[in-house]
Formats: sequence, structure tokens, C-alpha cells
Amino acid sequence: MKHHVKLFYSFFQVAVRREMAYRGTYLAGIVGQWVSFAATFATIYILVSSFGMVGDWNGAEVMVLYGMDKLAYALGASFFFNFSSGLSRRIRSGEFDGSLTKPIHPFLHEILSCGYNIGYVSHISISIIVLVIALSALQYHITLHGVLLILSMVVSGALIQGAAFIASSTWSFFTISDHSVLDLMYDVRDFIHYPITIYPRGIQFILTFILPFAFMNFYPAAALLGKEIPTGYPAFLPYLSPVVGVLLFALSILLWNWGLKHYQSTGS
Amino acid sequence: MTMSFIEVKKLCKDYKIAKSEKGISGAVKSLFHREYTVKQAVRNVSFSLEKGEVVGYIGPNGAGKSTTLKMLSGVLLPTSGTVSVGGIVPYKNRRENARHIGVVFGQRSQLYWDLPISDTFDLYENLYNLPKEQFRKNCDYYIDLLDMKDFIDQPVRQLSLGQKMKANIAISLLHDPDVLYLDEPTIGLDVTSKKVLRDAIKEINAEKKTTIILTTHDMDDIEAVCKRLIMIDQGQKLFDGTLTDFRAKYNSGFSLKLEFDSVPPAWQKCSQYELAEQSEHQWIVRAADGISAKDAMIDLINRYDPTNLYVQEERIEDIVRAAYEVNK
Repeated sequence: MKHHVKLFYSFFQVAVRREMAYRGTYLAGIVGQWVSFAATFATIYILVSSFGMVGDWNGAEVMVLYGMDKLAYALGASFFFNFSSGLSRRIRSGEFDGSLTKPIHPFLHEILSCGYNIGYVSHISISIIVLVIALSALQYHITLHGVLLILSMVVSGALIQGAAFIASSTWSFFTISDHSVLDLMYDVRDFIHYPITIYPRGIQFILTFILPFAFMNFYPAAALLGKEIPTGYPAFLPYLSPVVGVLLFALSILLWNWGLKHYQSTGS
Repeated sequence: MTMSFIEVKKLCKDYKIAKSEKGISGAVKSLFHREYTVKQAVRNVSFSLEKGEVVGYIGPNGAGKSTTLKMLSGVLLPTSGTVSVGGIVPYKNRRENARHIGVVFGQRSQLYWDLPISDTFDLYENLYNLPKEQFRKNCDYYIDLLDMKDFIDQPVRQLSLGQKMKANIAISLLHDPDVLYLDEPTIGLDVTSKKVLRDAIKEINAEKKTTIILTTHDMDDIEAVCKRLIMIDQGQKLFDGTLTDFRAKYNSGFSLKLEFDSVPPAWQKCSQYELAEQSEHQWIVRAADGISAKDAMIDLINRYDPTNLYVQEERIEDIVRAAYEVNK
């Protein structure tokens, strides 16, 4: 365990030093992301407040929804985006084979050596600002219970997002075609920018039970703000995010290992 | 019967090459139904190595060299057959095996592009959980041996191909592996860098008793560092033995270089000599078996009166080429 902590830290140092090798680019990137996300947040806010309500959610509540999603996404992506989007290329170039000749699990080595996209600092910071503004606009009383709830929801959301990245990268073990599954994931994710109660029941079902992205923001936000969930769904569902997160994360690693086995026996 | 350090028995590897279709619908379709063509990359290859041997593994492109190394290092599972390296089955006990091997796969760098080599060194210290003392000692040893002092703190992107190869080799050896697999270590390097690498490989083998398997296209690598060579083509082993035996088996004699001041006379066809190459003022003539060099020289001088005449022992590269032809 001590070894792993040391290992984690030394790879983290390398990741930071790599980004800092081009300080200018890095800072410009952060500022660019900031501007772009601030614009997106503003657009959604203006849209929602001028049309009044989306479902039974007002502007500030939708901002909580969006802020939570972005925060969880950015946390998951800072560890798993490079890993997931680069796997296909690394397999083709043969770099991935290097991970199979190291004395640690190749999954861990891949995460360590290409993970930590510290550029997501911009997403994380702006999401936190938006969440704070939106919650204070709603005159939400911060309690210890509330903070713990938000934290656990964000971590669960990050795990769900991580699982989505891991699962979609598994595809690379089977085919040389790039990114098709990752793109699919982004398309599905677009649904959760708005409360899922506005969608037809089929889509609600998919986002809850098949590709459960709704657990990244809708259910946690519904629990936090005391909102309605789709009719007929069990009332404890909004509190299930941590279970869904841990379960999906574990499943995605199993899936990835299964893909790896396939790669090792076929050479892809 | 005692086991050799590395035992490879009846090793086979088939690649199934899937015909993939485009887009998501194609991808989904191919999930349920796929067509394959099977390529036998390695066919029934067996050999054994003793500790401390340096073996050249040669063959043309696509012969199965890299595939064999991948099975030896635990990257790929064999389709059939077995591998044992120091009593460990690499593909079953991949992580344990990884502690005992060093791998350099051609130009696929293990270095971080934007960082100096020294950073990657530190990373490997933690990756292999090396004792401080062993790490420091090996760093100094390899930096000195491979003459890396001048560029150890430069970002990798500024380094030449040769410098990067040196760094990759050093990194793969920091944990004192028993075996070193080198896949095309000299490809694309200039003559000086090649020599430095070859000398270093010999030195490492002598000093650290590291068992080394290297694949190469460059026969000079083999002549410089390997006593033994294994030749494969189309996945099958064609030769396994010493360099001397290899020459004896496939050597078809010697060749002579004739140089002319002016336009050479017409070539007279005969059974004893073969005109292998011809340029404006120069011929390369191959002599048949059984003719002595002395007789051939007198004969050719009498017939063609060249300005200069050199006798050349056949280069191993030509022997290999001839051997592939014979086995075709």
C-alpha cells in the first residue's frame, strides 16, 4: 500500500511537470476553458430563466444540476480521459505492450502513466463556483449533512463517469476503429443537462437503469433539493448513487480485464 | 534432464485478422458476426538458452521475431506450445516475470517526451520499488557505460534517435533483470551510435551476466555481439547454432571484386563463375565451390585483365539472403 502511494505520487509529479513544461499553453488552456464554460453556464441560465421553468425546476435548480454534472465529470475525466481516449492509439503504436512488461497491473500502469489530465482544474473550479452561486440563490442552508451529501454524490458521479470511460475504452481491445463508443457516451450524456422528468418514460428508464448517467446529477440534485423523481420509481433511488458508482466502477474494471485477456490471446 | 534457463517448446501463435466494418453500426454488427483470416505468425518454434547467452534472432520483416519476443515477455499468450523463463511462465505469471526481464521494443519509447530522462529514471525507481543504493549504483553505471552524462537533463524531445535508444536501454536495465529482450536496437542509427550500443551490449553481458536476445536486420549486430544465432522465416525456425556453423552451412564460397580503368571486356559465361553484380567499371564475381582463391585470381586476371582485384569473404548478410532463397 505504501508502495502504491509512493508510486501514485511520483507519477503525479511527472504529470504536473509535463503540463508545466509548456506553462503558457497550459494557462491559456485554462483561461480558454473558463471562458467557454462560463458562456455555457450563462446560456443555460438565461434560457431557463426566460422560459421560466424546465419541468418543475427553476433556473438556479437547473444550474445545480449542470454544475454537479460538470464537477463529477471533471473529477472522473481528470483521471480517466487521457487513459480512455488514448488507449486505441497506444495499442496501435505498441506503447500499450510496454504496460504489459511492467511489474504492476497494466490497468494501473496505464492510469498512472497517461492519466491525470490536470487541465480539468478549470472545469472543477468553475463548477464549484456555479454550485455555490446557485445554492445561495436558492437560499440553501448549508448543514454538515448537506455537505456530506454533496461530497458523496460528487464522488459517486466521478466513479460513474470513470466507469463510462473505462468501459468505452475496452472497445479498443477488439477493434482498431477509433472513438466510436466514446462519442456515443458523450451523446447520451447530453440528456442529463436537464432534469430527466421532462423526457419520455423510455429515456428515463435508460438513463436510470441501462446507462445510469442520471445518478451523476439528477438523482443527487433531486435528493438535495427535494425534487420529484419519475412517477413509480422507488423513493430511495436518489440516495443510491454511491452504490451505483462503486458497482459500475468495479464492473467496468472487470470488463476491461476481460478485454485485455482477449487482446493478449489475439494480439488484436 | 536439467531445464535450460529459457525453454521454448513448440511455440505457435496464430493471429486472427478480423475484417472490420465502419461506424457504430458496423462495429455493433461485427460484435455478433465477424469474418476472420488466420495468419500463422509463429509456427512450432523450439529453442533453449542458457543463462548469460547472447543470441541474435534474425529474419526478414514479418518473420515472427517480435511476436516471439512478445510471448517471451508475457505480452501475448501463445496459441499453443510453452515458454519458461527462469522457471516462470511469462504469460501466466506476467507481473512476477516482469521483475526479471528488461524489454526494449524498437523505437517505441518508454520515455516522456517533454521531460528529461532523469525524471523517467526516478519513476522507474518507484515502479520497481528499487532499494536506493541499487538504483544509484545502476544509474551511475549505465550513464557512464552509455555515455549519457551530456544529455541526461535535456528534454527527451531534443534528443537524437541514438540518445533515446541509449536511454531506453538504460531504463530497461535499472532493476538488474536476468534477461534483456532487445527488438531492433540499432534500427535507424548511425555507424558511431551502432558501435557504442554494440560495445555496451557486450559489456553488460560480460559484467552483469545478463541473458540477451536481440532481433535485428543488421547482420553486423550479430557479428559484433552474438556467438549464436537463430534464424526464422515465415514463423518457422530455419537455423539455430553458432555463427561459425552458420557460415559453414550456408556459405557458398567467396566473391571477387574486379575493377577496370576503362570499359570492361565482355563477360564470358562459364560454369565456374557467376557475375553477381555489374556497374560501369566494376564487377562482383562469385566463385563456385571447390575453386581455390589463388586459382580463381589467376584465372580471372588472365581472362579479363582488371586493374584491381580483391577477394571478399562472403558477408553474412549475403549468406542470410541466400539461405532464405534456399529455403523458399
